[in-house]
Amino acid sequence: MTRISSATPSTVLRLSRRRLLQTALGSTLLATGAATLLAPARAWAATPAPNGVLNQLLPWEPNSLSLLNAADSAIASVAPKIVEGLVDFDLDMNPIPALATEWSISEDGLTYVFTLRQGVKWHDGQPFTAADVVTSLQILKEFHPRGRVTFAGLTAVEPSGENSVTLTLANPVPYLLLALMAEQSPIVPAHLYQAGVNPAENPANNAPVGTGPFRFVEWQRGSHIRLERNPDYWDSGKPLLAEAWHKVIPDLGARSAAFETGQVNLGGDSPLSLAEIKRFEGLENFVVERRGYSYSPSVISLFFNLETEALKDLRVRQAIAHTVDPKIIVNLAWLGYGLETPSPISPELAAWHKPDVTQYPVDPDKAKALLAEAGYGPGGKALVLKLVYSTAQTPDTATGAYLKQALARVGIELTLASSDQPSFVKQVFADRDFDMCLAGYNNGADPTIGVQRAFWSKNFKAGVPYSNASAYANPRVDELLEAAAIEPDHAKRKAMFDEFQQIISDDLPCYPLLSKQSVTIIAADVQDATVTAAGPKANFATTWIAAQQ
Amino acid sequence: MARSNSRRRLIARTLLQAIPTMFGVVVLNFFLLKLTPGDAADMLAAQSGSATAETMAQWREIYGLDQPLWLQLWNYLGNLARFDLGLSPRYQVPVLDLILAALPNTLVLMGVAIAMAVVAGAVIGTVMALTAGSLIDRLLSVLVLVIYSVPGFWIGLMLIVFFSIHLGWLPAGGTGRTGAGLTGFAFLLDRLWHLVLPAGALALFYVAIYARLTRASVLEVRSQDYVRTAEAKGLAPVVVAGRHILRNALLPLTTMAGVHFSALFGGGVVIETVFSWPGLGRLAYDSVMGRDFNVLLGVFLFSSLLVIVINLAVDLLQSWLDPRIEA
Repeated sequence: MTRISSATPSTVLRLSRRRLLQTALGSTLLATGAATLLAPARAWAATPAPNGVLNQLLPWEPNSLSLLNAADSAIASVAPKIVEGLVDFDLDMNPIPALATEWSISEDGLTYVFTLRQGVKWHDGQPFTAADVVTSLQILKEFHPRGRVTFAGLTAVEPSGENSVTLTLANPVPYLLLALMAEQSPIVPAHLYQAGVNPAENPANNAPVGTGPFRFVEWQRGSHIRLERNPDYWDSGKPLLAEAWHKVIPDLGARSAAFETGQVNLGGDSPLSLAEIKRFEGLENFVVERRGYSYSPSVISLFFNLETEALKDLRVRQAIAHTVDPKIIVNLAWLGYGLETPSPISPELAAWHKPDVTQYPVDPDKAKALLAEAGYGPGGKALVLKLVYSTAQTPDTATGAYLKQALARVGIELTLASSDQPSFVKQVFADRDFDMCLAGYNNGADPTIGVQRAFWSKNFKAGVPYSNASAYANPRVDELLEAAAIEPDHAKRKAMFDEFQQIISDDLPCYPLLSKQSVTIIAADVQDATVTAAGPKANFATTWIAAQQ
Repeated sequence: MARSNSRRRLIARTLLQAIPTMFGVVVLNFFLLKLTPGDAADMLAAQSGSATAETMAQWREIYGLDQPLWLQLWNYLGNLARFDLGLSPRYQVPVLDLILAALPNTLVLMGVAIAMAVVAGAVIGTVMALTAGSLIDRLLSVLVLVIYSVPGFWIGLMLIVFFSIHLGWLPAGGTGRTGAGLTGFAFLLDRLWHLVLPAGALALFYVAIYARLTRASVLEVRSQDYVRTAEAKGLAPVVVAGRHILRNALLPLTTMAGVHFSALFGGGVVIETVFSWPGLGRLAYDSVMGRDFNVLLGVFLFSSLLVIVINLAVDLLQSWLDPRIEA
């Protein structure tokens, strides 16, 4: 269970001239240079260090420390340690108690009753009550970017009895429990937040008060966020760490150095370049953890703009699918850190993923024939398409280069247009100035939360990022998505999503390329760091640092 | 008396000219920034992974992004007249707080870097000039050429690889040891320890420039009549080099250092990012990526003010170094 690295020190290698030259030429700079400079492995005891400190890496400065009105991975890497949710999920996505000790769901799926944990205190000493849950859910429904959709059917939240809360729904919301994790629906104190008032300007966002295992101490912008152990935590004896620090390191190269010099000892969401992660897999002082991402797998697809004349023709989209090899993209652009998926529902959402949908094996001759039928290629019109992608996701650049080459083979000329994230979002979703785009859609914990938005015709909304990018409209798909969103029966719901995935693979509004596999890099002395589905965004109550021998 | 009067006049004139300059900086940058595609609401939505049209509208309303451009500018200038830089949409924190938190770090980094560059550049340049044509001069010339041609961020990363990862002597980033609870002298020492690499990386390029500059300047001054006189008087070579040659040779150096101080802002962005140094450059970079234009305008305003003040200081320094120069 615990990871204890061997005590044999590895030799310190010398920087050879050839290596030095490679380094000078290498674009990832540190990748090869530091590879030759392995520090000797240290030895760890199986007992916790008394004053263990977690030093978690943050890829960018969080906007605030509140997930009440934002969903951002930097915030989510800090906030759940301070502010908790009603439930949590283990690594296999089974619900486990958090602020709610137990819950019951009525037969018709319209009433949820949560029994709240007793004797819990906010960090400022006030008691935690049902009123806090009521206020939090009301704010989430009105002001959370996804809450508006998730809690759309929530008609009432009321305290029921001493220590319980009853949720009444207008229609069944089969994924409701999944949305009640700290990362999605934090429970905040009612004495600091008010229902009906936009929480954006609340000063408590920058110095949160919660019930969690760690208390907020300070936030030095650009440098770090410091939390300390909450001695009054309801789970007595926890947390095992004395402090949790979060260090903001935006530069990729500097992040590797920060890990290797011990400045940080944990970082989630694939914090290094993929080549560096490959190298870290081989280091004894680090563990590269793949678990802890089942809560929110992200599927990257090639979206077709169905408003582009040529792409309105299904044969053209089929031809492109028959030309592009997702395997090459996974292996070359993503260095294997991805799973091929023929469906926009990730294989990591095992309960809903359908692997046997229509497949498009690589077949350039068939692609050329399809294009000729559609009137393109030799003797027909020339086909020039514009591919748009964001530089925020580095492998997309390599994917773009591959797509350009691959499609050239069947006579499609691709022009590549990359830009930073806000420009990309505007270009695709507001200006609709693209023919194809590479976009990753976070599935969320349920297809209704994260997949529906890309294919539901009513969600084709200009200017709204990560809405229906293709401008896809199919009445049957709308019907299925709407029915699945309120179907409490698992088997019936599964059948609906199966049919949905089949239709998408036939209609090809997008060609799914891969489901991203994120990793957490953990120093070998950090133990039990990945224990829930939230992975690096968990509360870290059970994490401990092994004492150095 | 006349001297201090003219100095006062120089200060008054510079500060008076600063007002239209800074106004121009704000207005020009305001429109430039508004030309970039996407706004803070787009970025927030992209970071959230999704958002509804209602949420986006809500955000734009709070941040005033739904107003016509001229009204946004008018409001900004109105706030500025009351010395209010506004609120950062991203952080929900007054822009002034963000800038004042980052400014000392940047000033320390730039100050130490430029001081290191001037001192090292002057020393290397003087040695090169005094040994002109010899092997030492040639070796130093090559060294100077190399550090001149290598980009700062690469030097920064290589310094980290060598001194932090390989040797473990110096910290790889940050402004100080976190959580050590250091006070007094130990705190200062720790801060300096963390400064060595970033300031060194930032300084190296300028060391090269100043070394070349000093070499040329020293060679020129050395052939002046008064130097020959001093040598003929029988003064020790060290005294001649220090008092007669260097003091006069330093003039072009101070001019360039003043000019470079503003250029350091540019290089500072890269170095601050590589060394996780929480300064103005990083703040500006993050603000561009997050389309946080209130913060960015604030940073531009402060940078322009800083450059004006530093140019003034250099002018005053010049007149002190060489009384022949009229302030």
